[in-house]
Amino acid sequence: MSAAILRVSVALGVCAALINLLWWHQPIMEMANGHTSAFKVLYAMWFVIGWGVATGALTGIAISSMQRRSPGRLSASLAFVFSVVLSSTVCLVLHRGLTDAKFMHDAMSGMPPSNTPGMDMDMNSGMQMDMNSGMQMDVHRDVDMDMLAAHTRPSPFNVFLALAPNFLAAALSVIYAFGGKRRRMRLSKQHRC
Amino acid sequence: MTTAVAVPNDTYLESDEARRPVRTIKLFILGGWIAETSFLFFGMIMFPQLHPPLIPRLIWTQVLCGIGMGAAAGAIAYLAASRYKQGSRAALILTAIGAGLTYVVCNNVCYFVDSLPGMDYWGRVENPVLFMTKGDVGGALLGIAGAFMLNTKWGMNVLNKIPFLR
Repeated sequence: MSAAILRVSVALGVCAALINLLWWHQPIMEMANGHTSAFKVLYAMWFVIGWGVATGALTGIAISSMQRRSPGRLSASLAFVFSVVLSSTVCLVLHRGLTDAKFMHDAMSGMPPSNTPGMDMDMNSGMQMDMNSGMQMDVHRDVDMDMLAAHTRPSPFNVFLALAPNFLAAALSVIYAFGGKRRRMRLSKQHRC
Repeated sequence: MTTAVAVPNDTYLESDEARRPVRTIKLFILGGWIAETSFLFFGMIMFPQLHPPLIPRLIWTQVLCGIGMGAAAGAIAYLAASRYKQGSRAALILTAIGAGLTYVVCNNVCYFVDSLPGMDYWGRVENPVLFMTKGDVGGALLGIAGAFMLNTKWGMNVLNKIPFLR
């Protein structure tokens, strides 16, 4: 893979992530609500790294693998398919983590929901916080509770619309890599003639 | 520019420089995945009281943390060092900083996510210092190790022997 292809695919992936971050700012940043601006910047960076840089890098690897086999149209189509599959896998897991509190709890929790103090889990309605009477809650925990409650509301962060910029980024990367290669081959043939 | 060396049986070998972007990304995917998988199993051994459903945790740690974070770390490391010749001191330092910082950012966000009520991955509640240390120190060490593998003769010889990274 030439460095230019990786740069282009990562740049397009980052653009896709930034479009999503601007468009779905509220649901994406919901977990960072109540924290400092510095943390919000760190959180936004993490989202761009996961949704943009990682998918761009995986697109670059898919393009590179197919280009090694052949520079033809079939390889270009396969490169697009592999790019979409790889980047969608990462994005779907991230999307699920950002929107589904049950999934996030299962992925990160230490205790079963029934053992978690003050927490009642419900598969259909997500997490419902239940403050036990007499339970001492400090300010930090209150902030976390608010964030988690916000995290459990139905999210408008639509997965298909959110993936659209990534599909476009993958398509443009493939066109750049394979279109550019064919153009270079044509140019080199013309030079030889 | 991609340079290639013709070899007898109709195959060609790309130069180390041409293989550098993919190799960097693949190396850090492998490193990140090994680290995440080790953390997952060590966490289960060190904090046996934490018994979550394993499938969501496997999906999160293997796909997003292993492959996604590794790919991002590799891409950032390569882009940070691509101006410099592979094997140079500047390339080594920038590769280590790029990858290490990415892992550290991810660990800090992970620490925050585990601060939410009901969440306690890898003993975040029982031993927060250990959580931060294993992530930040481990991430920095992974960045440095990857940079050495990619920018030293010994490291390149080792990478050439691994089919996935060849």
